[in-house]
Amino acid sequence: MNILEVENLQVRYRVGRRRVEAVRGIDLSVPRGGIVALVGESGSGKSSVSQALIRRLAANGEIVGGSVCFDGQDLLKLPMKRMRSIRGGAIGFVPQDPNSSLNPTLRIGEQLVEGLRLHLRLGREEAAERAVRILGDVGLSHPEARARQYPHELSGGMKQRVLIGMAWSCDPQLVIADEPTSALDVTVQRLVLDQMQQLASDRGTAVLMVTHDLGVAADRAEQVVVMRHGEVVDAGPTSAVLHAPTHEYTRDLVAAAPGLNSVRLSASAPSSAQAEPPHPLLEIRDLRKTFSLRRPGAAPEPFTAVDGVSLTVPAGRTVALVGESGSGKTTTARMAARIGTADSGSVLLDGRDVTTLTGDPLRQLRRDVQVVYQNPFGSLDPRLSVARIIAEPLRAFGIGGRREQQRTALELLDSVQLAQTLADRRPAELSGGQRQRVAIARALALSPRLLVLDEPVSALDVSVQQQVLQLLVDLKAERGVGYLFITHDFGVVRQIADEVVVMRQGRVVEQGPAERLLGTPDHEYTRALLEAVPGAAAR
Amino acid sequence: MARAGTALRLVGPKVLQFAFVVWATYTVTFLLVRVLPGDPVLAALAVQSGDATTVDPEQLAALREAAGLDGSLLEQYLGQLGALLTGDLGTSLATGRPVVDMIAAVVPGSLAVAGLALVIGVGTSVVLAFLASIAPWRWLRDLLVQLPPLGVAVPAFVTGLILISVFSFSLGLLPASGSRSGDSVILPAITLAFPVGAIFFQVFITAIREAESSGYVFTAEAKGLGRVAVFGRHVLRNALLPSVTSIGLLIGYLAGGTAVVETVFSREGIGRLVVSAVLARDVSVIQGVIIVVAVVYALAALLVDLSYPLIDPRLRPGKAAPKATAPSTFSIAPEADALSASTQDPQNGAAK
Repeated sequence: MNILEVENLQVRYRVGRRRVEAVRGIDLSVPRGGIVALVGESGSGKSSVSQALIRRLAANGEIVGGSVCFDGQDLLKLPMKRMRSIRGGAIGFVPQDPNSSLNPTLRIGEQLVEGLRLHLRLGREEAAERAVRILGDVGLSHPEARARQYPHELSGGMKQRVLIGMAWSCDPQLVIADEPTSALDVTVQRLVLDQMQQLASDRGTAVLMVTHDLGVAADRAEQVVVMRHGEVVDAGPTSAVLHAPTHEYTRDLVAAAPGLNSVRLSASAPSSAQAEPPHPLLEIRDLRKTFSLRRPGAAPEPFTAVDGVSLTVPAGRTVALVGESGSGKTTTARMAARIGTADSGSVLLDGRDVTTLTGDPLRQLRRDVQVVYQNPFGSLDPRLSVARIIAEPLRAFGIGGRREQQRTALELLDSVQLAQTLADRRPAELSGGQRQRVAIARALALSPRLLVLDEPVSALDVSVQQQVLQLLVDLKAERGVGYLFITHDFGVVRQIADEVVVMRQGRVVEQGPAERLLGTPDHEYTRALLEAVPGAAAR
Repeated sequence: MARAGTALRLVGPKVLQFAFVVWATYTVTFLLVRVLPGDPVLAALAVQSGDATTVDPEQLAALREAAGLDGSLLEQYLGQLGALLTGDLGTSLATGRPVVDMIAAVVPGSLAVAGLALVIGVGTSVVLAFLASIAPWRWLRDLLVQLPPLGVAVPAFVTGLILISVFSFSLGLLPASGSRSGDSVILPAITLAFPVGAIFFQVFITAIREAESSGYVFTAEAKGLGRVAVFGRHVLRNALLPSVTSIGLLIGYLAGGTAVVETVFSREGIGRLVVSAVLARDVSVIQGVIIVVAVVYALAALLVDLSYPLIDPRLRPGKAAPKATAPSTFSIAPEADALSASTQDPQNGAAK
């Protein structure tokens, strides 16, 4: 017997004058007490499905057809008032981003109490007591104190626990979780997912988990439904779908998922750069950086973001700098690229000390060191054409005439495997993967010897992620550049790193050749990180 | 003790800022008045008694001294600044009365009009925004949002005249002019409330739209709360934050922007005082009014600043909280960890 039966659900959005069909008639069912994963890449319509189930779409969205049968009644036919009593009561919802999903102006306890009073008709005090108990149940320490705190005083993982507690607070029969852990670190992700699974099995709650991460689906779900372009392409028991995918798209997705299937990528063409012995290209020695944290009404507190980090990037090699958020990896990278200044320590490029360069010598350093940022949507000027963006570094350094710059831009488009016809487009007309290629092409324009890549693929879908990583591997073989690659994702590390540096709370906990470190890590933190990577069940 | 220290650290810099703004306004005004061509005392006399007056030099010097316009520039500056600190704004050149008295005489009237206008304008905006956000039909929501820009578009003298012709001449409910009776405040206040409310509404509705599309409102609706509860508990308070800033600016605008309304309704007030002072080239009064307005403006900004922590717990002074996990304030989403997102990064943000 299924608690949820969705038939032929269709969702449409109005965008200006156009209508976009986001969900084109999908069928889906969730058995009582079962966990079903709804998997898809961005734009597949999976989040629209989750929102349509509780009839809470964005203002420009509407459900245009189908039925959502929950516990024997069609939710789409219910009057809004009845629907509200089901939302939060019989159906709980765990939203995507814990950092924006709690009201910043209300205490944690107050936000939990709302649902309890509404659905369970508890009195004020009773509800407050229950809220504290719920906070304890989801594994928060000092639940009484937590209830009196505001969301900003809690970490992301703690906030997601609060939201999970909220979703389960009124003993729902079904919980819909929309990318519940995408915004969290892997170790936190694991704990939060464990918590959800525990609650589901204790209370016999059915869970519909929407995720882009096949690893998460493989570990947690009994059944998987794969969506693409608003349609279901594959569905069935998890092991069957992931091990013997019937649809080609699922096969590609499984092959590309870094958590499931991390094989080291090798260059598609044999290396054309002359095989020079790897000499140290970038060396950083004992870097330190302290920020002072200011809070209103309090004396500034010093906070050491980077505490004595040393590492070396040999020419033509990829060094992965891995860590969770707050580990100091980005600050280290900023100092290595000389975007940020170090408090102490030194940065050497080719044995030359560049730690204290300023003015024009610092500008000249940019010919050798370029940076690719995480967000391909924010790092390209929206008003410039693609060719202009790629040629910008050449203009800045006055290299070549107009025509020559244009030609170089087109060549670079070739080398990042983008069609030359894109040269006149604006960034807004490109997909995320295409934009990141443009950003890489721009970084390569000056033929630098070192690229600092800050989470260059984290904002991309897995299949695109795979292509961009392959491109980076190919370019390295072709041009012999060195990469300092910052990432939080061990799947990606496995695919591209020659050497790995693991950071935690501003310090290096372990570093060494990738094969050795990933196979037999010395440090227990590295082991914990590796174990937390989702997808263990399918490996 | 610790608590008093915290309060001082919070309030201290803002009070200093307040004092600086007032001092800077005084200084700039002082210099501007001195840069203007012509002798203000002579000019004031000429305006009073026609161009062809002959002036006795001794009388002129006495007048100068009384107005604080004698001596070197530095002496004048320091002398007036000292007087200012004791609450003395000098003597009017045109009337010979102390400027403080002249301003004090008109402040209550202006204050009543401006205060009532603010209350009506902001109150109506909140009600309209509430309706625009809970109305069940899209066309009604759209219509309600479109209304307020009219308030800015129609000039005050037009609204004022329409109000007078309807409520005073046709219906005979309210006085058309003067400032004697209490209910004479109402029509000018309504007239002023149009632009004030419209400007506030535009900021407020944008903030509401932003709050409505946020994650926490989604969470609240997924909890099963009704429209009114969602608006009251989740949207309103978050939308107030940016709107309070605009209230501060509006108070400043009201402090000096009442001239047209006072003229239309023939009321005594700050605005008309300025107009007549400018026409009479009465620099002492102009200077006095500018300083008073600056004080009101800076005071409004100070109050707005101090009200932020009351509305937003994130801006309250930090207190020791139980911490179970590693530094919770530093854990951030992966996307905030990028080089490009340095402004979101609490580490870097705090360093600035």
